[in-house]
Amino acid sequence: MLDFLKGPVQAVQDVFILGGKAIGNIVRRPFYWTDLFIQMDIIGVGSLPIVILTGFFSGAVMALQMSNALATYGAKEQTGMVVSITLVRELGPALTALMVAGRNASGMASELGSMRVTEQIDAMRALGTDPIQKLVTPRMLATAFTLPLLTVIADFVGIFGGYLVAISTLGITGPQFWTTAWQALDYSDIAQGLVKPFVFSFAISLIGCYYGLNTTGGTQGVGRATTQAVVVASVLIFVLTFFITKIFVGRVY
Amino acid sequence: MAERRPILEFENVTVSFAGAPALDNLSFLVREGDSRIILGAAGSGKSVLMKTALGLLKPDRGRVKVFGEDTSHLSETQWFAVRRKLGVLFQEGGLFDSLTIEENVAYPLENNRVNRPSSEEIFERTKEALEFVELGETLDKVPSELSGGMRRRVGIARAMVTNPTLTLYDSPTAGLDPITSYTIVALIAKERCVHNTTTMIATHRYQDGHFLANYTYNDKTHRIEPVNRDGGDAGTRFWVLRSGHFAFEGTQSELEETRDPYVRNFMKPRMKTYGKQE
Ligand SMILES: Nc1ncnc2c1ncn2[C@@H]1O[C@H](COP(=O)(O)OP(=O)(O)O)[C@@H](O)[C@H]1O
Ligand SMILES: [Mg+2]
Repeated sequence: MLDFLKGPVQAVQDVFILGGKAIGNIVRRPFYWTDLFIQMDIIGVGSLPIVILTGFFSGAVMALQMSNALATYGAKEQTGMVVSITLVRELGPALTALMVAGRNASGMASELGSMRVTEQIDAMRALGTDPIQKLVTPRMLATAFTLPLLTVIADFVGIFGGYLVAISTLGITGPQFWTTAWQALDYSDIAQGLVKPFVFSFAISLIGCYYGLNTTGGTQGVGRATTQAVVVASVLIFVLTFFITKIFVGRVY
Repeated sequence: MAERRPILEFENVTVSFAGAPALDNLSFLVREGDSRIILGAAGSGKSVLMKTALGLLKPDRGRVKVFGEDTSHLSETQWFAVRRKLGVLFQEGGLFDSLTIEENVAYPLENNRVNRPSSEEIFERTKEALEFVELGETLDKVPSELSGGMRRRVGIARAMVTNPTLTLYDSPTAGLDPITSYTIVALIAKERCVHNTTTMIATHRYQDGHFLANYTYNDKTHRIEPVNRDGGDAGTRFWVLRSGHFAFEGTQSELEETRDPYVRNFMKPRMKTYGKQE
């Protein structure tokens, strides 16, 4: 029983150690600015299309689904509120993080994994570069900067998607939609909607880098590391979103 | 004559992965000017030995001394200073595929934050190292544009560009055809002679070791020539590594006379192992 737990516990510990080192490296020289900007471009700009698409359609679907349910209470005008609350609090952060996990946790795991099996990581260390400083810290920071921004964009596009559905098929007027959507949100919703992607960003980047750096077993190993990184990061996003929500809900009521 | 300076020493070094030892209580001493051929089958621990010498793997037990200094308590940053005096060719090459050949070879010089040479000097030395391996024309290419043998040669150029005291070659001929293998081993012999480098080579081919023990580069004629037998065997000694310990240690003649069947196995040219090296 204890032996069965040893692997996962060790892995969790290793991820925390990796995170600690990567954070510690922020203030150490040299800081690899170029790598940070390249990663911000890959993660932020690169994920934009997919985040906009998923955001838009999830908002639109929410509006369709919820308007039906709300209509039974005669509260169809409140569609804007439901769409904005669910998007900002929950769906925006989770869906965006899942998309970025699919794109970038896998990207990091396979890139670092290939470097690992071709001994480029060893070569870095042998030639005087700290791979955590050069590879992990920029990826971690780039994800922490861009994921909250992407989430805000997904929220807006999602609400806009809901708005289009509302005015075109539900017979709700624009002002009705926007007023309820806007008034529904308070500061704690915004905070929750920003804390989540910030926390998720570390799960995505550190899990991606961890599996990449610990790849063994040649090219096959890279494939395995990539799959594991996406699965673990995605599951972690659901687990974390539960706990963060619980903290916020507990605080409000 | 004074004893030559100790370069690399292992004292009862054990390195394990998940409880299974890859190096098993290994001890040896390499002095300045020595050549060491580490023969061993795939999985016998050659790469682990090289990486432990570089501080990339930490021994579970025992001590690694580099230039006479115990390294057990060195931090990664302190290791960087030690590694600057070591050259290494990795088995998988370890060339950075996002950098050009020139940037790859210049990397150890550029990355030296303690006393980085001037940009002109870096360029000169990079070009010189690439010309040494006869790849002076490939400066602007990237590793994926080169053949396997050429990439190995770039790796050799990168290993020697800092004029290291000790150079480690991890399976330099693995996966190469016999002719390319010959070119690589001849380059190693030339590097050893021109820069007077202490050299350790891990290989699964006895031919590689035989070549390095019996041939050397002549500075005057610029040719590979047989070593003068009276002068010994170019300071070359053989180790046969088997499951993390030495099954044999000694000179070439001792190796040829040994009766150990496992060790004898390495002295037959074994064509079927080509390209199968782990
Ligand atoms: N990073 C690692 N993780 C787990 N096992 C390893 C690792 N590196 C090497 N080993 C194991 O150590 C043994 C020696 O490997 P290695 O030194 O690579 O052999 P070779 O002589 O072919 O270079 C092998 O059994 C190998 O599986
Ligand atoms: Mg090896």
